[in-house]
Amino acid sequence: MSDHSHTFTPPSPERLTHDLDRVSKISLAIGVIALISSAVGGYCDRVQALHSYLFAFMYFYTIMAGAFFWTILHHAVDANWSVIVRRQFENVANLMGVMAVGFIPLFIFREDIWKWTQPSELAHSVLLQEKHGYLNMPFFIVRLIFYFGFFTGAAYFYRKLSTAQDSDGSIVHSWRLRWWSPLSIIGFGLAITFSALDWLMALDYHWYSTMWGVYIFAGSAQSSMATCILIVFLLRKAGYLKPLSGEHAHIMGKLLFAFTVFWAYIAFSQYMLIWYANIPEETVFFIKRNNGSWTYLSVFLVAGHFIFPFIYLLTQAVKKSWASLSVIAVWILFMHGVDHFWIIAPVVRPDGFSMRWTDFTSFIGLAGILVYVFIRILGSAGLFPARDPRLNDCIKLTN
Amino acid sequence: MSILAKNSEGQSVEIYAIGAEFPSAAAVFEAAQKVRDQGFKWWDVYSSYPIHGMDAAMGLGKSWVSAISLAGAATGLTTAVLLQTIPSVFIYPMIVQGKPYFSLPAFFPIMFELTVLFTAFATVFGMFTVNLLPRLHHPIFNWERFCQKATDDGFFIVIEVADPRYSETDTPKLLESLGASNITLIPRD
Repeated sequence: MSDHSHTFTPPSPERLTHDLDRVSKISLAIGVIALISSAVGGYCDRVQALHSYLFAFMYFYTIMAGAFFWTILHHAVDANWSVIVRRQFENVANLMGVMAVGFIPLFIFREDIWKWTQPSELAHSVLLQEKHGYLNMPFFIVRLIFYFGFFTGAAYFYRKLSTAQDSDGSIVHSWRLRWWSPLSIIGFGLAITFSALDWLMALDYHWYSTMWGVYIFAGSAQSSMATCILIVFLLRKAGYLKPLSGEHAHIMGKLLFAFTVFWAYIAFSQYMLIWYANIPEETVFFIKRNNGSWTYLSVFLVAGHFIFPFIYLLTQAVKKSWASLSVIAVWILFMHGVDHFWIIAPVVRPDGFSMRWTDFTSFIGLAGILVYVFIRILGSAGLFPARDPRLNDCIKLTN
Repeated sequence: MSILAKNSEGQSVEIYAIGAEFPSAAAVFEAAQKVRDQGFKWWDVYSSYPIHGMDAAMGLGKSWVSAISLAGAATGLTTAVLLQTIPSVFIYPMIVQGKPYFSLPAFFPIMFELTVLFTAFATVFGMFTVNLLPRLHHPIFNWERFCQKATDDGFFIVIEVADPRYSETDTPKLLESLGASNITLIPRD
């Protein structure tokens, strides 16, 4: 409430004062060793190792895309509440550059992952010839350039202007960021939808689902909110971001809850339409995952990705405490992994649920490198936009 | 206990509450915190728009409406499950589209919708019940200045005489010390 603002003193800018240099280097070392072991695993069983890597890649890619989505959404609606936490969304979104480099192995070994990229497949598949207008190599490369060019460029732009405001305090930056945000939302919608189609739906080019892009987006927005809740919780634990209150936790908890429900809504809509219509081209996806030991994972996904977080997040008190909120954030990040494992692994493990050690090494490898880069990004600017004109309203938030 | 006062025609009337007007939302906000700290229970704040944080400033606890909503949700979910299961499994078992009698995915949309519908009903009617609404008249409308300004640009605190902390001498002084104007005794009828 602006009426009694006379007692307000703005918080002084904060920078990372802890020395995380050693932590980041250890994390980098672990990451590199894990990725090398993944490469060794790839030498033994290339197809399995590549799908393990795709799983890890998609897990982190969706989190980064989601963080970018929250950044531009806050600007598009001119949100007050999010000012202090916005820098963390910007930081996570800026990891997209790492993902662009991380896509190189997938591109080199594309024929082991996406069958349609094999020239021989095109020759004898009538269906693929029909879909050739979209599923062809030149267009695939153009789309790749668009996804990574858009995400890295736009995420860089959004963080650059935001940090520029830290030093000069000019409101023009806020206006420019807001002006670009509706256009960025269009770019984001196209990039997340078509990258989900290209990299996940096209694992089996026979299959299609019109809900696929939204499904990936729902999990992406939810898991990136969980990631940022966790980052904010850890930063507060280390003594930063003290102006944040339980009210901010409450809003982030409500958004987490909303996207838990939204994910379930989209996942079920996709399932029910395919189940009801019973068309072989569509049901192939669920037949693979609802038979044999994959069934248990499917049931676990429903219970763990929706029912448990739904009940957990239902009461107000849970959402108002950073500690209890970060417990469910960890769980949601785990279930986000289960979700992507459930999408990717059954394609190459049709006999039933199994895990390869490359699943873990790829995941740890990418995570290690991303943590290293994230600590660099975190230390390179203030921990929150200290001169954003809406900071005052953000700190006195009540809802 | 009934408190009487003389009206302009010299008749004695029963008093419902004491009302006070404040110049701004900030003033009524701070005054509400002081009235809360004095331990008053039977009182209310009136403003033409919601003031953020007023529930805490007034010392209001958490509302019961969410519990009523949850009860509505559980009722809706149960109703949907029973309304679909009983006919399609027990009374008129029929094979539709080659699906089993008890095909849960087909039931989910109705379960979802009835849960939402019953929750909405429970929330709205629960809110009415908790607020003792609807009612045709309220003694506060006997205060003319309140009727003129409460929905326009006035900010009011009204303390009922039924409050155990109410005192004929101290309460008007308290309100005055908080910066109130137009301190008025509001008749019940």
